[in-house]
Amino acid sequence: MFKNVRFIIPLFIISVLLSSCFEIIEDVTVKKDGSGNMKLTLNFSQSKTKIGAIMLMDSINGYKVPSRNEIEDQIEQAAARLRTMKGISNVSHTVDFTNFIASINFSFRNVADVNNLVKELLAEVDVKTKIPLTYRYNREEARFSKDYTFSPDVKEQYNKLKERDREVFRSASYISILRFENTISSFSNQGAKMSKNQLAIMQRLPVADLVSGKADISNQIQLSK
Amino acid sequence: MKRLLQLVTLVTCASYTATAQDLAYKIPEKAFSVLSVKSDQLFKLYPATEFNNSTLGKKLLAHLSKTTEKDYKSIEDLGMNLSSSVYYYYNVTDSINCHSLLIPLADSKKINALFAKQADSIWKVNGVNILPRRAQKTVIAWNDQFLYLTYGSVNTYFLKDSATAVRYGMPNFPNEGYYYYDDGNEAHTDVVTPLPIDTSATDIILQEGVMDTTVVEDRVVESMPPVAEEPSEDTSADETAVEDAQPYDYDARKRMIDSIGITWLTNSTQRIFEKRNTEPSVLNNPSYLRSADNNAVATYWMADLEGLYTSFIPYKLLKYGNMMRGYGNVNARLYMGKENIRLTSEMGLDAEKSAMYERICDHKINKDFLKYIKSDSLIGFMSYSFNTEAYMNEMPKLLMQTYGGSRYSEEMAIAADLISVMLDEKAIAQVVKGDALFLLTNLSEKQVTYQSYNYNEETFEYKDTVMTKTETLPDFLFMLSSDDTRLFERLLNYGIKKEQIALNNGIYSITQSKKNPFSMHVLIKDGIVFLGTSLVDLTQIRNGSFKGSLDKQHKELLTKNNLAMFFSPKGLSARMPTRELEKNNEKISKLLAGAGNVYLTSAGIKDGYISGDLTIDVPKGEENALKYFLNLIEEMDTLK
Repeated sequence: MFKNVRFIIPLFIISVLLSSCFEIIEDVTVKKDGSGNMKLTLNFSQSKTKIGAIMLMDSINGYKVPSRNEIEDQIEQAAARLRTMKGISNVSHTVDFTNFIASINFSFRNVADVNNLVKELLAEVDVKTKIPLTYRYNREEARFSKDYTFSPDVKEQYNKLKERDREVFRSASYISILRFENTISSFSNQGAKMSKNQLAIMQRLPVADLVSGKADISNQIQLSK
Repeated sequence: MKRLLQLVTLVTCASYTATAQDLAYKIPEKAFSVLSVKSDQLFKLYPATEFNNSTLGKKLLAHLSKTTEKDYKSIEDLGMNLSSSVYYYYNVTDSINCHSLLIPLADSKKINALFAKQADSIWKVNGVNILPRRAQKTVIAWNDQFLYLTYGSVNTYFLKDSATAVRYGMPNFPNEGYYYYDDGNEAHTDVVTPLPIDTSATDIILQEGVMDTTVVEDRVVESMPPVAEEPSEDTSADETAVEDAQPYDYDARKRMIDSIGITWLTNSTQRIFEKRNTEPSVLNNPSYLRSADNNAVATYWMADLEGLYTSFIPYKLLKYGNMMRGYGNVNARLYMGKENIRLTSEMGLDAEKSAMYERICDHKINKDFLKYIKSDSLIGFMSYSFNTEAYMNEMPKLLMQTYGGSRYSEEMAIAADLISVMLDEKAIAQVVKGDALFLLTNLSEKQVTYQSYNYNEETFEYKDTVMTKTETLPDFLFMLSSDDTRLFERLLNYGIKKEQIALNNGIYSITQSKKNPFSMHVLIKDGIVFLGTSLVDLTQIRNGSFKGSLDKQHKELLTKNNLAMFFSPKGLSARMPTRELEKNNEKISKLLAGAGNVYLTSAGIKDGYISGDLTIDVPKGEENALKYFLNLIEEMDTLK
């Protein structure tokens, strides 16, 4: 079912290379027992004029531009696939073709289920890199860790891009929000920020810093027991 | 860049003395395509000494020195004649397809030195040095006048015919064409493989190093493949292959085919050197002569499309129709002058097609369009003018021509008639006369909304929020001729009903929505449908107060051509908002501001040829087109 991902990838590349801005939001809520919710949002709204124009074309730079129906189909299929995965439930998704915002929402029984999901998805699209991002939750010690392993391959690819295309990644933002039921007593990543109610932690950075290895999004979070 | 270097190498492969004879007569009469590069023209524009010192020249010489392990200081060191034409041609026969290169020489000693390492494999016949390279399927040969390089691959289906196969000492295999060989195990350079090919010439080539020129002198002519002049009609006749007792050794078979190929190439190479200028050559072809122009820097010519299509497409497919029916040869010429670079291309049409296209192209652009052009501030335009009624009338005929002779000719005839009956050509031509003009008038900044999020500091919960940003959008004006605008009006009125369009004093405004950041307006006046982004312009057009300023050049482009396109990079750069300029790479902006205007035109049918022209102006301050072009490439290369 992800066979056609190759189809979506060009669209993504086109969107990224020709548009000026986009946002990726990863919003994870972890309950005491390790289960929780995840919402991933991809917001291309700032570049909607360009994407709108691209969608009017059949193809661009040799890439076929998928139609609205085709994109909807793909996302629908992705959601259906998620539903079959172990520990994943309550899958829902929205696609807004006016603002070009897509989001997918699901519950997990355990954070390991999310790691598994990422692993399977990457395997299906033939990405043979290690999982860059893994979550761990130690219930007894009330400790949550987010481990990010930077892949030099990604940096190499990034460095190959022209200056102008790199600019796109510089203006794009990655936002990660982690929410807990207990208050946070400490966290290791200095780049992150805690909410006033001490129940959430947020990190916002340019996507460029993430792919170039400049920034680290790993974080060890100690929760009050 | 590498490809460019290779191209430049090829182009510069031509040297000094003007005495060398033009080599075109060496090209077979039935060549499929010919590309010629006039080195003398090129080096007039860019003298060799200057070229040697340019960045590109230095890079090229360094590259050549590295690959050949020699020290090239100048392009002349290559030994090639820089004042004669270089030819590339592609020849297709039923037995072998070859790519060949003819390079005139100034100093063959330099070539001898270049191939000194392979001296043992070089075979000398009548002052011609021949170096067959079986693994590369290539033969390189030269004498004092020119160097000839040919690469060819054997058409395996030719050897499928059992009679032919036997003739070349090939065992016959069924399922020819589907064999494979294991690349990993096979060393193609293993030359001394005993092969069951029973022709003396082949054996000689196989045993490189022990060649005896006397044997070659008496070469057995029957080992030559029948070349295109006498295509073997019976090639496909014998479908049932004769069972052969030999095992299917595909590797050996592949080697055999390669050996046959190299034998053919070697023989044809010899014929090229023996060929006199009185013998039939491509110069006998009037359409080739039409394409040859001494003032052009490069010319390209391709033989008759219809003929080729019918000779290469299997009958199985041809019975469904001949798409190329009526289309003849194609040629292109590149001119580089002080003021512009011009690429002109033509395609020949047969009398019937020619007459059809003539009727279709018999339409001039609406003169009233010209009133609404402001040449001094224009970024670009695109126009077309065709006769809709003629097109509607000719379309079924075009269909018939393509599919008429096929298995479905009757069905196609019915379809063609049906179309004619169903469509009211005249009525359609009334609505859309067939001419239109698109003007890119300006770039302007517009406020565009987008969606983002507001984060609550207390909880980091977020809410959707609408934000605005400035975007640069093009301003345009599109005009279309119509004698019957009722259909457009009805469409617009339908839009009004659906509350998507508002009508104000005769100007229809399409509602701006989140999806449509353009503000677009429509006006119908004097048989013209106007669609544009500027309400001011449309209001002035409605009131008759619009002041156009058409310059002579634009007027000529529009009135003398069926298709015209104009683009002014300078105009674009001048109209680019400073914010956008800052955002852009400085070099790109500089490049844009320095680039010359671009024109693309097609003036319909002339002497049975349909043609198209691409012209790029050389900006002031640049010496000539070639230097401008090479400088541009150099600049592009430094762009990050």
